[in-house]
Amino acid sequence: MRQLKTLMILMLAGVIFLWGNLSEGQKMDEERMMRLLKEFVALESNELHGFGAKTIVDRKNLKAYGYDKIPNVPIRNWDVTPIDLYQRLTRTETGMLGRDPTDIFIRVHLLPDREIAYWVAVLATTSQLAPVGQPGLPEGSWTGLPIGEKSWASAPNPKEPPAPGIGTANLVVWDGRLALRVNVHYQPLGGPKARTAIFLPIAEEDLEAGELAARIILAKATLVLIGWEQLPSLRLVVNGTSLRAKGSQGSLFVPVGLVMKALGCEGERKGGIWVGRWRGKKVTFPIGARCVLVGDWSVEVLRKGRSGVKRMKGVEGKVGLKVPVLYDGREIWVEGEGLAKALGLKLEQKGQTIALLPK
Amino acid sequence: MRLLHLKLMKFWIVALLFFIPSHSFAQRWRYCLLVAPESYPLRWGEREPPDADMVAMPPGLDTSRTIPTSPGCYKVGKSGFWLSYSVENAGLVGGLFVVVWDGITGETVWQRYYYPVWREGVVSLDGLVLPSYITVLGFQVVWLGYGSMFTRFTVFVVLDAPKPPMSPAWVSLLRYSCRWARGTSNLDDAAQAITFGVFFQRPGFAYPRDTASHWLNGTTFMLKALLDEWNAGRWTDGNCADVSCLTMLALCSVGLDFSVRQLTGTLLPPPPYCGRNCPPPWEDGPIGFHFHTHDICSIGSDPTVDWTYKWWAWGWHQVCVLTGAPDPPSNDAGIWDPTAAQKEDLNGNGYRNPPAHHPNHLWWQKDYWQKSHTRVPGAWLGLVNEPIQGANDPQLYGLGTWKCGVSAGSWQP
Repeated sequence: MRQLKTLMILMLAGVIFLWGNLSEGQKMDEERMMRLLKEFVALESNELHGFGAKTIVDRKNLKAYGYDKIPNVPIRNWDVTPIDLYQRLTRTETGMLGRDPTDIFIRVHLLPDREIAYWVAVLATTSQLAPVGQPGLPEGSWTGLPIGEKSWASAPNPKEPPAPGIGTANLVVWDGRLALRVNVHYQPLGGPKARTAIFLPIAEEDLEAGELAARIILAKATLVLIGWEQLPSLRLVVNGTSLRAKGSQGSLFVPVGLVMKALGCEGERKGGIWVGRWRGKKVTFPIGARCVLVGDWSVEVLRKGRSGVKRMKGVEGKVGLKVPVLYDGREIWVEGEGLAKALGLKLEQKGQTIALLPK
Repeated sequence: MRLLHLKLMKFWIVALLFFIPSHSFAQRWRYCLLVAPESYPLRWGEREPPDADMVAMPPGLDTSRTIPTSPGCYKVGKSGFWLSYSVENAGLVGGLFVVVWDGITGETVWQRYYYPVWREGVVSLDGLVLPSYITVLGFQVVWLGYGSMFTRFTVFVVLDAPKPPMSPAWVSLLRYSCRWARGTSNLDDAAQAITFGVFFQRPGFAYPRDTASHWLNGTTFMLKALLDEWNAGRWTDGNCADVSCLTMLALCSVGLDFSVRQLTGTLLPPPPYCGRNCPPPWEDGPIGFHFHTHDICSIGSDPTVDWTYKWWAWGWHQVCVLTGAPDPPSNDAGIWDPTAAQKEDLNGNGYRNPPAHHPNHLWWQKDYWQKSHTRVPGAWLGLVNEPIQGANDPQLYGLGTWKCGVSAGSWQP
């Protein structure tokens, strides 16, 4: 009996020790994740040309914010604590009345699972146009190119004359465990004491800057989530050129620009995309998108050109990806399988060497 | 002769007490506190968690505190104030000059000179009765010793104990709400003044064309982040949910128990079946079942000019109501709606202000939503232009009647 009692006490102590270690480990992971979000994922000052950056990383339980009270949302357990990244990018230097200061407000929520992340993103689109719990902004993006698994956006027509209520544009992105919202905001022409706040519409280049910020952050946050630093490096041979790939077969990532160059394909990075021509076809890699666009594509402006929101209209071919197109601050990376499929090639692994070969 | 002698004696005694006990001339305050009556508890509104954000009490100066000067908050008409003070490195006696003035108008409310007084003690502010209306008072206490030195602190005068979720009330919001409601001494006037105050705040909210919400995280209003923007002279976006939640918080901070209410009614089918080019050319978004408003002037615009009035296509709308007000479709609840100004009141007279229920301008719930032309010949009044609303409209929508939470946490709109 006494032995049983001792055994039980030992078991209990073991459980407590294990639980303590696990929670300590979890805490360490969270702290590491918070540090990575702040030091690696967050944009630095001037990373978007001319924009200074202020960054905060924080954590707060969603139930404590009253998410559980919101109707029409099928999430039962809001008792989760995301890691939140808040950034304010401010540009003051163009000297254009009505466009300076331009603020790009960014908030990124890293949730424990993709379903909650989806609903956090949907709730970030809440407007008076649709019932709460349904997307209140139209699907699309500011450039029309795909970003994340799903995105919603609003923006006034950039060609519109100054008017009330048009100095703001929103982009909400959902991808996996990430929910992200970017808001580009101007101050009104009349200044702080204006009787009527009249705004310039958000200029196309500022929308593009905001979307670029979203793409870079989404791509870098994904790098953190897949443990980029821990992924093994492999030798990649393309057309006799030796390059470095990351990961292992099944989840192998290759550097787009270097691979395309080795293949003799001309192309370049333009803002948030890498675009080039391969065997007479256009190939487009939008950072943060879950696809590679193959062939020509076009976008349409919503509301018959009366909006700043765009959506893909037509695309010749599209290769889906399991992980968004990545960006590590220098190179754009894409899943090897996806790239091979988009280019009509095949990947072959021999030991620690991967080769990209014609089919 | 004897009287002169006595007076001279008194002078020399005071002079002696004034100079001798001091070791140096660097006199300074130790504390100067309003020890009675008790102030309502306050929160700075600067950080989370709330426990780490409380204003140290009693109000006034205490040099041993991390933040030495604390504001106070009292009910209108409060009296019986006692000031406890202590001065270091001063003569044993000196003079104490207390002035109380209206921080908004600058008018002196009360003043008294105490002389001679010990360098440490308690004085009764006899005759100081706080105004019968909401305002912000400045207290200045001057110590007259070798030279003079002063300390100042703020006292907010409110109608009643602040109500949840502004319990404790935030100092950062009271600076706005007491200014908006300054001079009002009852619920009707104060609620109308705060509704107007939010609407006419410059810089303040500007209603965005995409009708999106910006300051609610879940059901929690991110108040510090918003006020930081205004305090820096920047305009912010805000839809009806944002605007009415802030108004509710401001009303609760001055002791009025208000909630917000989400309303909807009989709706039109999605375009093209709604009869108009929806969403209107100035909106940008998906639109399902919705109603069309009358031409209204949304927050951030000047309601005295016609060109700022537009119709909107909305699926729902959020307003302020008194906590416990009858549910719709009852017409017994008053409505306070700072999101948009209406050209006409419910009698068809020129109004050009945001609806704010008041004995002089009644904005009853059902009529506010839509008042039929059969009741005011030739005019459809209220918020909803079309469709014609049913007997059971408006109806509670979504969260119904609720109170938002409030946070000083990090946020980007």
